[in-house]
Amino acid sequence: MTRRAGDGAATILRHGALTIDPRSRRVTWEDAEVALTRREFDLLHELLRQRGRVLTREQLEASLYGWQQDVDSNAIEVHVHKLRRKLARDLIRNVRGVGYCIER
Amino acid sequence: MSSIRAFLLAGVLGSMTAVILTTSVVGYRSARHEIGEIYDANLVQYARLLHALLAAREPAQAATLVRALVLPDLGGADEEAIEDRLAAEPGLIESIGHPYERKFAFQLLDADGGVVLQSPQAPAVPFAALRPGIARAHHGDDTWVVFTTRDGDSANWLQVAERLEVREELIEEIAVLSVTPQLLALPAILLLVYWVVGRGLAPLVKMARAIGRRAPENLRPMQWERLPRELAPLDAAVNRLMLRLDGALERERRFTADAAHELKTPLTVLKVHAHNAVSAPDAATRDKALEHLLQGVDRTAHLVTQLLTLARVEPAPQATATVDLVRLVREEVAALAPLALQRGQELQFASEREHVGTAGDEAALKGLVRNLLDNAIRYTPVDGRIAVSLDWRDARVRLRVSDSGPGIAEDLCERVFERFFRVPGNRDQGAGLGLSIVKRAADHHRAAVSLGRRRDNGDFYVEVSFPGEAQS
Repeated sequence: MTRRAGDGAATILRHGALTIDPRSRRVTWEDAEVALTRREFDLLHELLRQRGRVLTREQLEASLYGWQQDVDSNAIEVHVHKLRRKLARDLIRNVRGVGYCIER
Repeated sequence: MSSIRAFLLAGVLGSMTAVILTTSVVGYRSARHEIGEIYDANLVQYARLLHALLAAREPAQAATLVRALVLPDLGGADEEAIEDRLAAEPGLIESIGHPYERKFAFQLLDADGGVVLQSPQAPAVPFAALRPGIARAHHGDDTWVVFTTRDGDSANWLQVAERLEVREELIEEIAVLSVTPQLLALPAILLLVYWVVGRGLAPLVKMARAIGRRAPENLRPMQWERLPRELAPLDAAVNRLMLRLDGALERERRFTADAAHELKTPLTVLKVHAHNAVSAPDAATRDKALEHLLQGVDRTAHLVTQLLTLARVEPAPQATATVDLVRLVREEVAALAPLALQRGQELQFASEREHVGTAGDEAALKGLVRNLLDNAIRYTPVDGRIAVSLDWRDARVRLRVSDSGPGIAEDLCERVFERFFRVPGNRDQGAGLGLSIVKRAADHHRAAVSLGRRRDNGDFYVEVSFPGEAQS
């Protein structure tokens, strides 16, 4: 059984020191605003919305790019790398060969 | 519905009739030919004799000879009546002769075909054209076989003739005599074949009756006295089916009994905890009992889930479709990964290829992967490592789940696939069904399950090797 964290896309999500507001697309880390690209924000939002679940690369690609065909095979990896650098190293967990998740 | 009896009857009678007809036709033809030869030879000899007699006498004496050849009046009686009289009075042939005599005749003709002498039955004109040899000729309603020869000194022609019906009668007689008994025998053969076929098929009927009379729960192999060799394969096939059915029924019975037994214990435990909660002296004790109760409900729910999975996998896979194993395994690993993360375990998945199509039942395969992974997470200590991999060796797809847990002792490796078997001393409250589910699902996919330890780091692994149909 999966209970999705935060149903509406518009709810403000908090996770430790992180707060993201999907409506204004603002992200703060320890009360300081962090500037993210559109893809980075979408990725962070998706992982946070489904906190506790491991999302596979295919699932993340589908949610970020829709059915776009020519997605760079390591695009997600690059976005995760940047998010970790901008926010915190251990925020996003990687399950090798499977996908990423933000733990509860 | 086709009938063996009808087929055999039609086959035997059809071929017998064909053989009888063929031999009859052949026999008739050769009889006709041989009889023709004999009669022709007789005719020629008769002609020579007559020729010699006529040549030896003066023409005046010849007329006397012809008179001697005039046949007595038979008083218009028919041939058969005369034959009967002859048979009754053997001396009579002296005075009245034989009725068949009328079927012979001769003519002596001069060089121009004018009749010089002739027997009374002969026509007033030459029998046939004046050419030496044997020919057929028609006079009135009769057909004659005529032998024509020439007297070298007098240039006279001699024609000796015989009615064709003489030989035809004999040929017909022979043909009828040879075919009739065989045709008369046909109905007798039909009855015999019918009876023999019935006797031959009797064991089959007996077998069908015996099978039909069986009680549905009686699945013991059948026993026969004197089973015909031809029915042995059928008997063996039926017995094999019975054996398989018996095995399936037995498994079903054992499964139901085991399941009931396994459900009894957790329910008793739940009752104890509920009882403790009701009779708790204070809130703290009650809360603790309720917590135990919740855990017990979880374990029971898990047991029921496992039982249902096993029941689904047990009889036969539902639908077979092409399943992408890489995607399926990755999704199952993703679904269970949070559990491993919670326990601080390092979990990873590696596949040599991005996609691989395997014919299979998706639900059963998911049950297989989930149980392998569930076992690994459950029995691997906190901070341990778990690795899932898919690779290709010798046209087989190998799914391997390895972990740094204690593994399974070698002497238990056979037993862990049994239902409800739990490794002794195991503190965890599993249902004891995980590896049974894995084994059954693997069997349905013609996959082999093996246990072992990795060469590189000594981790324990369970490996499922599928027959490959790899599409990269």
